[in-house]
Amino acid sequence: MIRRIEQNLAEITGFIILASVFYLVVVNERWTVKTIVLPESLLAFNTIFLSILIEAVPFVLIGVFIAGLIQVFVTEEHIKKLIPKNRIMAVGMSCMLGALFPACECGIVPIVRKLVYKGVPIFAGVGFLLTGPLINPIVIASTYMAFGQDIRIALLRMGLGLLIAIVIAAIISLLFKGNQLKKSASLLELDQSTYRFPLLLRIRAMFIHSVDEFFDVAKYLIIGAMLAAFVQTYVSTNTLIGMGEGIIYSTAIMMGLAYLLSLCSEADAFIGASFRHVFPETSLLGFLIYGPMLDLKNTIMMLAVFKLRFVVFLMIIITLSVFGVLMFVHPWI
Amino acid sequence: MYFHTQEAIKAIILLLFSGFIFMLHHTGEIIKFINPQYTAFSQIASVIFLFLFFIQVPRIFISKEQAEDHDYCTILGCNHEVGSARKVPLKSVLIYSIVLFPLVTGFLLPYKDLGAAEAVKRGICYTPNEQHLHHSEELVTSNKVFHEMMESPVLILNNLNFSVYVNNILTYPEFFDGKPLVLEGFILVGDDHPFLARFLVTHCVADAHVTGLLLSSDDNNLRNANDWVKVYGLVDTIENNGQVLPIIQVKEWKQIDQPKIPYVYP
Repeated sequence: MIRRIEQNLAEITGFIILASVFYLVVVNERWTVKTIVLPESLLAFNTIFLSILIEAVPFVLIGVFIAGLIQVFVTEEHIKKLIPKNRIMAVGMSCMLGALFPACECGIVPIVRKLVYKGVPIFAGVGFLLTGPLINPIVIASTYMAFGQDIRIALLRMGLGLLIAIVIAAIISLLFKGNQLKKSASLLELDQSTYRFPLLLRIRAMFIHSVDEFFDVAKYLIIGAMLAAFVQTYVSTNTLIGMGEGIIYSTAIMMGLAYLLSLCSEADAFIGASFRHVFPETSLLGFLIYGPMLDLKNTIMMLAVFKLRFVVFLMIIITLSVFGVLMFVHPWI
Repeated sequence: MYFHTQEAIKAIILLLFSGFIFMLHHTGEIIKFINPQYTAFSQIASVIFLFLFFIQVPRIFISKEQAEDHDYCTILGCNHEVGSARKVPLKSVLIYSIVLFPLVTGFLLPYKDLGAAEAVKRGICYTPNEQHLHHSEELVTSNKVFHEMMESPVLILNNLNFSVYVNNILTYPEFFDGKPLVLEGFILVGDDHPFLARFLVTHCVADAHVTGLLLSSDDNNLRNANDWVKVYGLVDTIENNGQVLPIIQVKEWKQIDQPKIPYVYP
């Protein structure tokens, strides 16, 4: 029996696809669970959870494709040639490169993982990880729109964000050696150069790596989205806001909110702007800069890639740097 | 020929993701999750999933020769666990059930549109995003939508102009004093006045937040939270803590069903 199934698998899978498409086109209505009455809030949770996933998935797919591309086509020699020997130069370059590279915070994790694996120093990887989602044309445009066509906040967000990212990458370069990656079996096998294989096989290998990468990332993305949706459904922002006053409190609250809500950096400016009447600009900048660098969703994803100790230190460093720099520049804002 | 259960599970998951996103687009339910402007992204994602499925299918089977030849290991990854090919370790079962979770809830559970309960959780903002203390004519003339609004005899708010119009009314309330307008939304009960609200969705409903205008009416029936209403009224202003806020003097209103697209877009 199993043998027969194996022989006709192509036909069987083809049939499954046809049947499912046919079902969707003809039935055109979902069969939903109606017998069990679920609480409204749980359904709202599910809707928000799915919407975070649907929003993130296209960008994650781009991320895993680029990761696959790096895996198969970029060698360690390329990286060695490209990254400057000088540490300060390397930090600056990685942050600038991240600024030019349009990515979102969930799509960039697999890319950074592959880059670090291929020999990019960890501090340069972190610089890229921080500026990639924070500084790019889409984010500038949406921030500009959200704050009533006021370029000031958008510029402050980019400028301070870049400064803070450089500070963090510099601190990392002093504190951490080695690549800080988790040991992963699938990566260790692939040390050798892939250049001796024909191009077609390498392209196929790239897609296969993308599939594996997707499954690696997807589980963490899903857990992260679940936590973020949970916070959004069950935690009221009003109680968070009511917790205290003063610049230190309000900045800390906005940063905490940015962390918990885990919004995509392209959309968070609109949420940030809605707090404009409650908090000073410094606190809003805390929300706008901290969110893309670190949030619940991407913490889970980073835990999948880097060692626990490194992730914890990175979180502390990011939090202190963002907070410290903002408090320092507050009198001038 | 060996059969790889894990690779088969992966293939099915990829196909289900593709089918799930395809189904949302096909039934039009995608607008319950994301801003219609961005649907192209998820359509592309659906196609990519299907493509990855076809990439994945051949990996379900490995021939005897491939299983014995380690030459391709370096590039395609090792697939030689033929002895255990049919078994799926517990850790993998856990991983696949996590990945399957959104598919199960997505296919089986009904979707819910955000309403008054979520609005209260997310906080309501009656004040404009930008504070122009001096409404200079210059600033106003540079605003195209503002002109369009001033020229039209009645402001009719729909999904696409709602947030821009409301924002302009909030920013320059005195310019619109006495202007008639028609708008739809759901009711939120505030301290003194009911609030006519809509959820503004920038990207996806996770970033939705409330926007809308205060209503002034003697009719107590207009105070049932979560009711969808269509309101015809005039723009008026009130003072609140030294701030001028616009408020709609309701002339006529009627209860309506929730519109097909409950959200508004920037």
